[in-house]
Amino acid sequence: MEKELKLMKGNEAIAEAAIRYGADAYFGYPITPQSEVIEYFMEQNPIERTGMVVLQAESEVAAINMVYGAAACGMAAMTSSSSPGFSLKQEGLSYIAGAELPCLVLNVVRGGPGLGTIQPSQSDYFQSTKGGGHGDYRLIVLAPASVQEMYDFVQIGFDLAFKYRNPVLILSDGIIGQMMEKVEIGPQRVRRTMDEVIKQCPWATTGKTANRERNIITSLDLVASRQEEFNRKLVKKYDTIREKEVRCECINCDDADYVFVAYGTSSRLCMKSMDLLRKEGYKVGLVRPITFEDYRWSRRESKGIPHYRNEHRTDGRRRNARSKRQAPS
Amino acid sequence: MAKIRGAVKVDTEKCKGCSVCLGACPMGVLDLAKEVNGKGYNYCYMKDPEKCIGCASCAIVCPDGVISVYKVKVD
Amino acid sequence: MAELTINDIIKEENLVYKKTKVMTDNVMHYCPGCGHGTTHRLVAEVIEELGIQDKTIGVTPVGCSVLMYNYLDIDMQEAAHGRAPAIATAIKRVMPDKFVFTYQGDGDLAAIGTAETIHSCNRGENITIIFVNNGIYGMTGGQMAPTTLAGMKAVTCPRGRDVNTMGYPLHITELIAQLPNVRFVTRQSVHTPANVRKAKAAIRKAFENQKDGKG
Repeated sequence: MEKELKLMKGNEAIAEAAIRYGADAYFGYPITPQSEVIEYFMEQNPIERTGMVVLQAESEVAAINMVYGAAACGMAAMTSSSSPGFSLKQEGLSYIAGAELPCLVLNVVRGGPGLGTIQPSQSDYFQSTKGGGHGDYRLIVLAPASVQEMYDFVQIGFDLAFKYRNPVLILSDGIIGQMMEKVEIGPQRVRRTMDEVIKQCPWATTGKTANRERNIITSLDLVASRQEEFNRKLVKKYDTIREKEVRCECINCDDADYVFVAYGTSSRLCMKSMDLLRKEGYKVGLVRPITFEDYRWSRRESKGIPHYRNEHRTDGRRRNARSKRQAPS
Repeated sequence: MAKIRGAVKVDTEKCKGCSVCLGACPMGVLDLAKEVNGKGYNYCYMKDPEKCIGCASCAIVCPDGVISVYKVKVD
Repeated sequence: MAELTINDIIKEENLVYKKTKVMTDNVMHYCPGCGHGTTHRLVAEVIEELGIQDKTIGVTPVGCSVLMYNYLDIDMQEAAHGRAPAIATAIKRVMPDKFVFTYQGDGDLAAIGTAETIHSCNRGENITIIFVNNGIYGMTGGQMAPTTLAGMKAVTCPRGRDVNTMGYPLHITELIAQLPNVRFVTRQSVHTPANVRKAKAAIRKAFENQKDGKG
């Protein structure tokens, strides 16, 4: 079958990917540089295409809480924003993490603090990798470096979110959101039926039927010991994610004397620099974390490069392609 | 003439003695007991059971839903 | 004819009123006499009468009634402070055949959640919002609420609410009633049997409006 290729903005690719994934709902609020996400959704009218609900909320706060409501019904729900709006979503994300709900959030990062600028930035790194809101929780963070990855990470993100019942963040930026690249588009998946949702998410609030106890979605536990137990459970979950879901790309690391460590847009710049330096005879490599959490963890992984590479999945196809181009040394 | 006789059953352990039912009863049947329940509340009881007409006003206003109402027709 | 004893009357066949099965047997944490218990029960009774226990999803607020999900035997979600209407919006939109209600106090609905309240009503969401107003923040210990009456004392206005510096009590019900997409707004109380009956009829009507898609 012939591949379906399209020239798209990153922001459009993510919306198309959500529709094709068979997502159930998107709730958004306009903010530069990610407004194309909701604009594309509205233009596509996914309620007609797949039955997916799309709604422009009155604020980022409302939007993330709408995601909470839909996710608690077992739905594949998502929202998107840019840095100032993402700050507003932290309250909701904390509740979503506390109630262990799956959802997908996109942050098309712009410079800050405050209103900052509308130019791209990677300044939300700490907010993204340390949880972001109140309480001890972590997001699963995926950092795309291309429009294709914006598309691909929707499916990976939703799958991870449902696997671990945890919010997943796609940490993009203004460049990847706005730039146009060729995207290979996957087939349209059919949205789950209500029965399939109930089967996949027996914990969801889909209406208390006679054959089960009532389902309650909450992040509240007034008994301190139970809350502590819950926190321990979360830590365990995050440890599992750390162990099993690490994704990164290592390029030219085998013989490298120096390596760049960079994600997203910066990794694209570093890749070019690496190529130029290689031509001048410097043995330079690149480690591009795709999932990451906190600094301590990244450092541990990147200090010893062989350890990093051996333990975690690398993108072989890409590395080989690069290796061919490099001059033999 | 047919006469209505009613009676209420109070879950005394769950009653909080708020006495909302006392004011709601049109016949002045209910009162708070001198004794207290396990939580230390003076629970509600039928002081004057003869007068109860089973209108359920007490149960309707009871915030804790501890009152059940029974009613019979007596010839 | 022998005199009837209490035990003759208290028999299953003579039962005219008892707590609905949609309520759980958990003892409520509310203070004695608090109207939350009554209102919870009315919601439960309406759900039972309409036969929609398996189709109803409730959203609880932050405040005293945060633990409402312990008392109603239906699927429920606990919202962040003030955000219940946004959550209910999403539930209804992804599952339009379900009955969705929020249960919120005055601090939750008329202060921190004003935007969510007004906008969900303005969109004409097909949901029911049950607003329980006691004019005070109860759970946190008696602070001034948006609905605290002029001159009324609270721990954050110990000399009484001064309308010149703290504003007048917010008439959120009247504000909502101005919105063209809002179908049914009513103000009820639960302090006497007659008022309880009226309040129940109002809740029932609100749920029936959802059924008819009237919003």
